[in-house]
Amino acid sequence: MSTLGLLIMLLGIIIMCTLVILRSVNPIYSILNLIVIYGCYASILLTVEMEFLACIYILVNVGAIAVLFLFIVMMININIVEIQETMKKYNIYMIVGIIGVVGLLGILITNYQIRIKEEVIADFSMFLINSEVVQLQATPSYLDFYSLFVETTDIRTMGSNVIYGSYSIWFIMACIILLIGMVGVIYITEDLIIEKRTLNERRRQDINSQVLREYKITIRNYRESK
Amino acid sequence: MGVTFEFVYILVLLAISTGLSVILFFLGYFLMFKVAYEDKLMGYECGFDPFGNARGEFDIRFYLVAILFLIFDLEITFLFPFSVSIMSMTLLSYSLMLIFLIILTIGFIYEIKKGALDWS
Repeated sequence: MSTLGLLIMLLGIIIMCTLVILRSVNPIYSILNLIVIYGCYASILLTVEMEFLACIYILVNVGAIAVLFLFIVMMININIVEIQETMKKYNIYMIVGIIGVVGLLGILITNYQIRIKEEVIADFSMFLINSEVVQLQATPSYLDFYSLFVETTDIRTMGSNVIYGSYSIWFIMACIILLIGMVGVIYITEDLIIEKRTLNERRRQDINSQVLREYKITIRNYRESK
Repeated sequence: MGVTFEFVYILVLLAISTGLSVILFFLGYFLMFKVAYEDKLMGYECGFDPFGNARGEFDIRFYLVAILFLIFDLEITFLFPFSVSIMSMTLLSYSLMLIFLIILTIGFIYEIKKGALDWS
């Protein structure tokens, strides 16, 4: 039951961060709260004994995709006042989303039961008690393979058999996809890098092009000052 | 048999400090006094209209570095089970891992030769 309390606390943090993401106007605040949500998801996966998925959440989502979102958001020219004016349209959708999340949380609390590792420990302690009693009968001892199997983590099992052995074709396929991604990124941005370097070498101010961007405002200011 | 209560004070300290920091963060966010209007985003105080946007453009090389970081970070997800279970692997699995590393090293050599990481 203590694990269920921890789960409720983590889900509460996720709900609060989701509200901050939807409500905040600054996109950098949204991404930082998204990182907190990924951390809470990883903690929930650790309580359910899915260690490998928890590590993937931290490595891939927080380490890579959040940083990538941060770069993209910094590069996009976002006018924050316009976002804030149009944000009022989405209040109804936010309320419906909150009701949905609270409903899902209620279903989770009432129905879902987590298999806790302590049950196995309790069985093992019962085994110890029984072994003390039955020692009078001089029974032979045996190695408990079940406990050895239970104590193995997901990462060790996947590393020893699954990824590099049974599914090695998909492993090499993923490697080739990563290679294509790397080469493709360099190929796409090569021309832009060359263009940027030649542009930096001959950087100068062009007053005519600057004035022609907003013609009316500039000429109006000139008339008023004159 | 019994559960040890030796470290319960550290647990209480950890809970209070974490809860206090979270409460202060969200109080600071929700109680913030915010007045937003368009003049705050202008570049000049004297009232002149700027020709363009005050914020400078980011260089494309930042995006290139981010994408390459993403690819090597996904490589780490494949290396992590390898590092945990290297003692119980077969020769075939170990060879496949070496093939994986060789192929990505070829991509890395291509990256260096193309000058994608040169900053000047």
